[in-house]
Order: sequence, then C-alpha cells, then structure tokens
Amino acid sequence: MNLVIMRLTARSLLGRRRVVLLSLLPGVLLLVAAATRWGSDADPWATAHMLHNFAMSTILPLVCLIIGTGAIGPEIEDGSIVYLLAKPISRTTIALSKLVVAVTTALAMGAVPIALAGAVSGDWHWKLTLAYGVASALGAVAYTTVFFTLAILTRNAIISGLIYALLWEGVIGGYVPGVRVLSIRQWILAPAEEIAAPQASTWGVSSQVGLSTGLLLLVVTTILAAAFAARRLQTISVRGSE
Amino acid sequence: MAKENGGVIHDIGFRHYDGPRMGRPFVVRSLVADTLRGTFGIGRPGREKVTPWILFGIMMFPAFVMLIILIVGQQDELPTQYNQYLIDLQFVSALFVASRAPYALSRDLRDGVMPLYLSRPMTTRDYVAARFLGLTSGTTIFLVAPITLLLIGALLAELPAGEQLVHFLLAVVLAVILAILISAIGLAIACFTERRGIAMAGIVAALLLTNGLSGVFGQILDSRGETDLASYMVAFNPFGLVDGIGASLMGLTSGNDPRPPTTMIAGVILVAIYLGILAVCALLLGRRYRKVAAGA
Amino acid sequence: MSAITLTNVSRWFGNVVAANDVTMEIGPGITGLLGPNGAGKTTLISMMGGFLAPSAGTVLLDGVPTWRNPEIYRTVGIVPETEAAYDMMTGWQFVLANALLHELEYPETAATAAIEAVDMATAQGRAIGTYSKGMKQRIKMATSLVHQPSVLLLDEPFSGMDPRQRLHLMDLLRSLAADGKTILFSSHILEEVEVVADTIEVMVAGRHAASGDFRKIRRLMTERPHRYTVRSSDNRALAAAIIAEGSANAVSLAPDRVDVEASDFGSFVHALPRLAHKAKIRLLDVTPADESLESVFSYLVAR
Repeated sequence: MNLVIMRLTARSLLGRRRVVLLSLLPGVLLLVAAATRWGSDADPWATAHMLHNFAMSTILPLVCLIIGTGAIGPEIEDGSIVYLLAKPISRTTIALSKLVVAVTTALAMGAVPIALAGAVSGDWHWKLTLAYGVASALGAVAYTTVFFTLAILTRNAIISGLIYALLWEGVIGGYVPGVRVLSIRQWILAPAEEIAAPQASTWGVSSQVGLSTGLLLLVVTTILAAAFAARRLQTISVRGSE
Repeated sequence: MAKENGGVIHDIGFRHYDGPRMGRPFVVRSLVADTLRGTFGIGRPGREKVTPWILFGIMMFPAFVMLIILIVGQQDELPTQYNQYLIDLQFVSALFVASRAPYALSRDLRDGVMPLYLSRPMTTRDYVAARFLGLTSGTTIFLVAPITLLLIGALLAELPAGEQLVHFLLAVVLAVILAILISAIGLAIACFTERRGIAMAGIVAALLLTNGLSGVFGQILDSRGETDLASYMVAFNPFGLVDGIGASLMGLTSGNDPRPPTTMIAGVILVAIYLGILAVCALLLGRRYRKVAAGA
Repeated sequence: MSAITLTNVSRWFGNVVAANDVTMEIGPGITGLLGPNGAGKTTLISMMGGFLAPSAGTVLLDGVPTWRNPEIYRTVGIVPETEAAYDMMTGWQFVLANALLHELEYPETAATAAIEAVDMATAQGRAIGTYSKGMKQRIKMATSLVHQPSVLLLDEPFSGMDPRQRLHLMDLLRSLAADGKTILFSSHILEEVEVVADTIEVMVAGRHAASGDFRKIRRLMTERPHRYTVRSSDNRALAAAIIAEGSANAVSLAPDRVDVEASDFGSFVHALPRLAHKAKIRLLDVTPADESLESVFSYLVAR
C-alpha cells in the first residue's frame, strides 16, 4: 500500500461533480427509507421489499460503478496515470492502493447507507439491518473490484458496467434463471438470506444460490478480478491522450 | 498583390467567394444529421459503434423472439402490447440515452470547440436545438424499430390488421413523446460535465432511480389505501409518466407498475407535468449554454 | 552517467509499424529525437520509458530492460506529452506528491529545488487547472526533475511555450547536460533541436534515418550539392580562381558575395584557403548556406 497514491485517489474520487452524484444516491435512499417507514408503519416486509428492489438492485451497483471506475478510469483516459506509473513502485502496489481506497469509499457511500436505510425503514431485532448490511458490504467489495478492473481493461467501462449490473443482473436475469446464478447480486444475497432466517421467506429475502456457493463464487471472483487488475496494470501501454 | 513599405502579400491562389451561402438553416440541418449519425456511431471509429449497436441488439432481441413465436406458434394474440414493450425494456432505452446524450454534448465541451460552432452563423440556441433534435430522432428510431418488428410479426401471423395498425401507431406516438422526454433529461444532465463517464452515470441514476422511487412510493401509498394518489406516483418516472399519458388520453392498456390513473383529468395533469419537466430541462440547458457562450 | 541502448527494436500496432528495426544508443548530453508527426518518436520514447513493450529487439537502460521494471524510474525522469495533470492540486502539492512517490528522504527540499529549477516558485500556490500551457509544461518538468534523475526523457517539451519560456527551458536542459545527465527530447521543430541538441537521431516513417552530429550527417550526404556563401576582399578574382581550380560545380557572383555550389564537401573546403592564399585574396566570411537542420531534414524526408 502506498499512502500517497491512496491520498491522490481519494482526492480525485471525491472531486466536485462526482461527489454530488455520489451523495445524491445514498441521500435518495435514506429519503425513500423514511417514506417507507411512514407508509408501512415500520413493517419489516416493506423494508425488505424496498431494500431488495431499490437499494440492492440500483443504488449499490451504481455507487460501486461510479467509485470503481472513477478510481482509475479518468487517469487512464487522459494519460495522467503516467505520473504514478513512472515511479519506483510496483504496479501491484499501485493497483491495490487505488482499489483499497475505492472499496472503502464504496463501503461508506453504499453499504453504510443501505444498513442505515434498513434501520430507518423499520426492522425486527436489527435482523434486516444486519442481513442487508452484510450483503451490501460484500457487494461493495465485489462490485467495486470488478468495475475497477473493467476500467483498466476498457475505455467503455461505465457503459459495460451498466449493461452488466442493470441488464444482465436485472432484466435478463428476470427471464433466464441461469443468468441469475452468475450474478454478484445473488451471491451477496445468500448470506442475507441466512441471517434473516427463519423469517427470510416471509420477508422475501431470498437468493438463487446456497450460502457456501455464493461466498465461494464471491471470494473467487473478487480475488481473480483484483489479480487481473494488477496484472493488466503491469503491462498497460500508455501513449498519452489521443 | 499589394505592396507597401517593402511588405508583400502574395497571391497564392485563394479565390473570393461571391456565390450564395447556405446559411443558418443549412448549418443546423447538418448538425442534426451529424448528431443522428453519431448517435448510432455512423461515420465514427469502431469503438464508438460498439455501445449503441450492442444496446440496439438487446432492444431488438425480445421482439425478434416474439416474431418467431408468433409465426411458428400460430398465436392469435401478441405476447406483449406495443406500448408495453417500451415499458418492459425501459432499462435498455435508458442506457441508450445515457450513453448517447453525453456523446452529443460532453465531447464538444471537453475539447473546447464550442467557439468554433458559434463562429458559424448559428446561435447557441440553434446548437442545443440541433443536438436535441438529432438525439431525439435517434432515440425514436431506437424505440420504434423493435415494435415495428412486432407489427411485422403480427401481420405475418395474420392477426387483425386494422386493429394492430391502430395500436402500433398509437405506440409510435407514445415512443416519440417518450424519446423527447428522455433525450431532454439526458442532455440537461450531460451539459453539466465534460466527463462522459460521470454524465452517463448521472443520466442512468436520474432515469432509473426515478423508476425505483415511483415503484416504492406507489406501493406504500397503495398499502395505505391511497390508491388514487398511488397511481399518480408514475409521474416520478419518465417512462411511467409517458405510459400514463397513453393510458389516460389514448385508451391504451398500461404496462407500468404502479398503474397510472386513467381519467381524462388525470391525463391533463400528467401532460402538464410532462411539459413542466421539459421546461425545466430547457431552462437548465439554456442557463448552462449562456455561460458557455460567454466563454466560461 | 547513464545510457539507453536500443538494439534492433521494432514495434507494431496491428498492421501499422511504428518503429522499424531501430538501433541507437543515447548517452550523456542532449540528444534530439527528430521527425515529422507520426514518425514513431512517441513510440520510441514510450519504449525507453518502459510504458510500451518492444514487439522485437531490446531496450536497455544501463544494461537492464526498461519494460516491466519500475526500478528504472529511480534513474529516469519522464515528461509526458499529455496535457492532463491533477488539475485541482496546486503546483506545489503536485510536485511534492511526486517527490513522496519517489520515497525521497527530504521530499520538501527536493520539491522546492525542482520548482526553483523551472522558475515556478511564484505560481506554485495556484491550482494546476489555472496554469497556461507553458506553465503546465514547466511544472511537468519539475515533477520529472524532483528525484534528480540521470536520464531525462521529454516528449515534445517545447510545445505551447512562448519564446522566453523556450529559451529558459533550453538553458535548463543545457545546465543539466553539463552535469553529465543523459537527456533525450523529441521534436518536429528543427530550430529547437538545432539550438540545443549535441546529437540528433532522425526518425522518418518508423525508420531510424540518421544519427550523430547534424553537420556531420549533412556532410555524409555527398550526393547532394553543398552551397556556400563567401565574402572576400576581391569577390570577382576569387570567383575566377574557384572556377579555374575545378572543385566547384557552379559559381555565381553577386554584388557583395560569391555563391558557390560544390559537389564534394571535403575538396572544396580544403581548396578554398589555398586558393585565396595563392591569389592574395582575403576571405572575410565563409558560410554554409544550407547547413541548417531544416535542409538536412527535408532532404532526409524527401529521399
């Protein structure tokens, strides 16, 4: 880990426009949570419904996408990544330092507000807060790592990430059950289902994969993505802006 | 050749042009055409073509499957209504606008070429209008293409032609109304940043968060017994709003969740909201480009 | 003292060959990498800086490959072509961050010295986003000097500078070269290279077209006539003597000078003083009329 790189990354991640967009998302979520509490008299079922259909499906992937790609994409696009690469620091350190900052930011802007939204909206013995808190924390790590890697691989990272998160996991997953098994969203919901048990089915907290399968796929995907990111950064060709 | 104080201007063959000039309308028309072509990456390098055409493929695919089912399965009914199709695939069209609106505006802002546009006989208003028209027509094509495929399927399967045609045409009108709205929202967000990535994420957030919002609010109000108010929650979501206009004023069956209101008065209110959103977008674009024109 | 050695280096992108079998050695002093746009200058510098793998051949810095070897950045400083920097930071913060990334022992001192060297102390407190093109270029220079590298690679360093800044940067490069540093800069503008570079490497369409002292290169091209402008105490008599001697192709007499076109560089230069001495003519001025880099370059490009 390199503290200077981490500081630089945090600084550009929390630039003016991006931070507006970033704080808008959790803000809206908490607003919706408050409205859900008012509307449903703090019914855990409504909370689960809101978290499932709004927080986990839209807010979390969007927050992670903006942060994960924003941590390195713009620098690669305009060529200023050269200033980091032209230093006697291993590329793995550069990649991991940036990734750690991105994941931390995603936890703060994605996972924490989602857990908070669960508590605000109406819970039963903190079960939903914990279940979705854990799920969104795992999601923040996995989504951010995958989107970070995507930003190193392609200049069309944002749109590819959107197509994955919204179309693959959301729309196509709605029609083709096999697709659902290959979705980060289902993997992170597996522990949520476990934590929310035995009320999981009443509240509609469910995942398409078992707990061990989900966790295994999650860990493998995250580690592979991070390793791939570090590897790609070692052989990245920088030729300035076009 | 003019000679003065030992200085000389050489005649290197430039000729003066005295003929008619195409003028402002031509410039605007060219920019509309350029935007429309750019929306689908035509005349642009390969990597600009990837995104729009992948999205176009995804948008067409279900329609194509339905067409085959219709013809092979000898169905006597469309699997989905034309206007329903637009609602069902709203994520795809939202992504399309999110990726193409920044293309239309952010590039010019980032490269600092706005003064070049404005040095032609064209005003900022013309520029924005041309970009808007180009994007809107591109989005319209994007929306109408798959339902045209559905219509072809319906006609090949020998469903009642007149009825299908009426439904199709109403859905086309709805598609145009929708294209105008989402293009305007997309441009109003895209004009604020030079970074295409941020603009893209912002537009998706605006178009899809509103979908979630209207769904959640609608359900809550419904469960409290406020069915009437719940139906108005469609107005939060551009796609729901347009669907509501179709349901209340054109007599189409809604494909949205929550269900929109269906009375005539509700329709008028929804149209007013629709126009209100357009006005806000115009205002935002106008304010931003007044600054751009002033050289900020 | 460091040297970069390229041995049979080629780099292709798909079907396009950007560098074709290039062999060169860049040693201490200032070397100008010259060529028109698209000649492969940036590709070469990227490979030297370890940002691009050669498709064939080797790029070594003091015997060690530059590709996938971040350790070279302790000896190498790079001034990239890209305009983009961290716009929201101030010049001072940016240079200091670079010093910290190099893990220097006294980063503040190093940053101050680097900013002094490029004459940016007065503007160091402003955000980089507010800098002019020339100022950005200088702050980029400062980031690459902060760890006192023995090799400095500059891609188009003079672009966007006004004449005063240009002179200042040239002085800076000269003083660095005087310390024994190895400096390579690319340019497509000839007079810049001509003024500062000790040696030039000329790239044309990916090929290494020429290298060495540009005057020597010029002399190597004997098939091309060399022109001289000579002024003397008796131009008319001198013209007659040169024609009689026979080492010149053409001689033309202008009111205040003699223009001579010689096909063989060596024989004319050696013959001239002898002739003048014999005819008792005093030579006032002998100037090669087209010894400028411009003519060398246009000759190479046209060949």
